[in-house]
Amino acid sequence: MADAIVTCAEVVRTFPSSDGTENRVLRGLDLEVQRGECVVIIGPSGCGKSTLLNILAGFDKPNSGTVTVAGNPVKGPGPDRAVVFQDYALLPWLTTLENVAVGLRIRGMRKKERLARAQQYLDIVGLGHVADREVYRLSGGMQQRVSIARALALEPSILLMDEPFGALDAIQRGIMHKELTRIRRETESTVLFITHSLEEAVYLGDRVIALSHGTAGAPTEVAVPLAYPRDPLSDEFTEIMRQVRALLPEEH
Amino acid sequence: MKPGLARRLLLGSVLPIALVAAWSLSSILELIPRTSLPAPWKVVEAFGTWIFGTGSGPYDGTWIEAICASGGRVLLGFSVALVLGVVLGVLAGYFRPFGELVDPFVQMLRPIPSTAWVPLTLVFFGFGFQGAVFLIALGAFFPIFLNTMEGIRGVTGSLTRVGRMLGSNTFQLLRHFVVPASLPNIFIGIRLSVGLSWVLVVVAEMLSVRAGIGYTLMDAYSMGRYDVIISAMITLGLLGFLSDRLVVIIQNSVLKWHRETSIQNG
Repeated sequence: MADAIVTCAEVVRTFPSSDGTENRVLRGLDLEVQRGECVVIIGPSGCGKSTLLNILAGFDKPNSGTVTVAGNPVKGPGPDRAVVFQDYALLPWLTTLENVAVGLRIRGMRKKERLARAQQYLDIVGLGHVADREVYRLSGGMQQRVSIARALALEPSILLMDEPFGALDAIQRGIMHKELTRIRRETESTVLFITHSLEEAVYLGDRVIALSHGTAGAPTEVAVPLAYPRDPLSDEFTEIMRQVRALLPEEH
Repeated sequence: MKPGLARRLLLGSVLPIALVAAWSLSSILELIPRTSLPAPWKVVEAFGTWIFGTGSGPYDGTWIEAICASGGRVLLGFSVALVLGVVLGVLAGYFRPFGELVDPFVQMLRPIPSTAWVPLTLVFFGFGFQGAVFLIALGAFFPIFLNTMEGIRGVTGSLTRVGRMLGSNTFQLLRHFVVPASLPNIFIGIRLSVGLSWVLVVVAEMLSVRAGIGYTLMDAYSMGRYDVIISAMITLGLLGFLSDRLVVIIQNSVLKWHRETSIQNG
């Protein structure tokens, strides 16, 4: 399709395993993510979902296959593919605002300009009022929102989110789900989201994709045609949850 | 005043006061011959003359001069060690081949006591300022180098990933991510080295240089002026203490984040 932001074709990634054999995590994966879409990837541990994200981010290289983002082959990490890490990975020696601005600083943007843009994205994630606060004093949920603002400030082609809410408690996670939905609507971001929570997947995704160990070709997927706000207790929601669960092996 | 501070001051001053009291008592009762250990008030008098004296005595009014001489050597020697230690430590910690090249060599030199370098120092730099600075720079280099290198190696992978993701080149990665994250370790090295610098300046001055607190100390020994010796020791203690406080103050302001995110304050 013409408007695909991410295109993975026949991506193979193997790791040497401890018994000397090859651990074939991805065996020729095909995947497309369209502009403005939120694709959620689920699957059991070791199924290659983090490997896929690392390949897209440029932290890891496939053994073979092609990976392009916005038409450009992925050669290494870069600000066009902004990663939101599970552990936030903020810089405690900078203020909240400076944390959001740090990528712009590296890009060489002038101080006034970059701080203004950082403030704008802090406002978007609802943290405009804590711009001057020490970032380590913020709660986990707020720190993750700073990390999202830092990613958004890069104005990337895609946001890569690696279990970003995994370290949060249930209440904070619920707030973040609503926040991310709102932010996505406001910024029209394209998102690839990794989780092991089925409910999170169905709540956030336009499509939910299930990787199994050694996925070859196009993985199984379920479309989520529900309007926002989604109600996890509704019949439609639970029906889609059931379909998604059916994609996974028994033990999940 | 914080409630804990009065208590800390009180408890902290018990042992020093006890020492001076015992010393005074032994002087009054002449438990130790006054020729070996002058009375506290004699030391105070000699110290006063050393600082403020305008007479023609050998030490009269030379205190500031001696401090400046020693302090200048410490400052320069330490600065050389700081620059070399941090730069080489960062490079050796970050670039594996460079580390493999430099680290074994440094580990071979490190066990040689700084004092063992004195004869060669004299041969190469002579009796003077340069020799003292060399000795200080050499001794103070190792703690800064090692702690910097270990700090850089301990930086978490997720931090370098963030740096790369944000588009940093290698210099930017070091400048904005890796080095700031290593600053707590770098400061450990700095603190150790500042203390060491004062030790080494005294060594250099006792053995070869003809000015400074260490020189005064040795000169007073040859003249039998034990009151001046003790004054010089107190001066060195004070200088060491003050320079350490200065480092701690800088550290606390630079590393506010580290203090407040570390375990004991968490």
